[in-house]
Amino acid sequence: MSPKPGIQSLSFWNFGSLSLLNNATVGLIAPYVETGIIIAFFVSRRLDIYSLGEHSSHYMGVNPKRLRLWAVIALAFLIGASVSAVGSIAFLGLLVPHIVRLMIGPAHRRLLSLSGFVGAIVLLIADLLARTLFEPHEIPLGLLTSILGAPALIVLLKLRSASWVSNA
Amino acid sequence: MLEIKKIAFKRGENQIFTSLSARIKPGEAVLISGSNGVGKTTLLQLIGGVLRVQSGEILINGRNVEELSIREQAHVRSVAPQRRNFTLAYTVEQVINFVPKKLKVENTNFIINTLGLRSLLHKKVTELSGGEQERVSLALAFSQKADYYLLDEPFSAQDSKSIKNIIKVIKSLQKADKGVLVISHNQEALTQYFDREIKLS
Repeated sequence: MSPKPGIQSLSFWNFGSLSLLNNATVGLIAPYVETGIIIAFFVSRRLDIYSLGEHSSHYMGVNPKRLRLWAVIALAFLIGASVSAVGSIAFLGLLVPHIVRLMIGPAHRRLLSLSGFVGAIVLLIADLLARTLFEPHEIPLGLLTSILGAPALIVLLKLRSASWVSNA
Repeated sequence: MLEIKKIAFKRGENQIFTSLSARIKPGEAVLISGSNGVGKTTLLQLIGGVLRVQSGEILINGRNVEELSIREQAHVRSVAPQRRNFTLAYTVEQVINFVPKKLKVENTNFIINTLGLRSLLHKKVTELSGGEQERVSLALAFSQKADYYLLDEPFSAQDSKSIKNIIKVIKSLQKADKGVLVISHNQEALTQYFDREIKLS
């Protein structure tokens, strides 16, 4: 790793890291994250209806095109803000919601809020491991979540036909 | 009143309707029959607003369906499509509660009990049989407060007892002055339960 601070922060950002995070950054991204959370909360019940299909959704008074647009806007706010602050932390967003769904079922209002909560806990545990596992060296957080997340994803995919969607 | 006025609809090269007209009054239950491919489901999708007519118009309570917003449409008609995606493991109770509060009928208990879903409420829809899933889909449509109910092949996976129970719900809707339109291809045994039959060909 290069000693130059610019290069170092770039590589950390590429792998994802919490070490460059400070209160100013959190304050800066907070409004965007909050906007994303509020939109996600408002569309969550309609996402349940949407899961039955486009026509079903239309028949029950939910415009599927408009709903998709709002969901993408929520995603853009949430992902854009968090990646700008901590870089790309691989597999976390891919795995946590699926694991939470296996635990509590697919109802989106609960799923979204609990995914955020569980995601934060998993992130902090992973960060702790990344900082302490090979002390005094710190492994990039994204590297650690990839090493742990990739096999976990494979296991989930294997289980998929049996229980991913059917929550058996 | 649900009025279909001289509608034409073409899918690709296939002219499905050239000038179809029909009307369904409040309190009336109408069976729509016809062999595969004559456009029964297409007709339902046109009334339901997911397809648009190429000429003519469809009026519900005097208003053109295509000029109603998706939300307004949901207040005047409820649709049980032939198929819904039951791919996520919601419980039956959760699915029936998908109907937004403003749209929901007061008494869902009658629907749940009559359709034999009471004992299934806490089961996952993904683990139900095809016939049970079909009844959940129907319960969802019946739980939506509307003036007209459009059901696409509601009996296709049902035994005779369940068919009678579904008819019972339809009769109760008629009593409440709702119009019911049912699509079915095996119509012989069913005509006795309906006021009228419209044969498409």
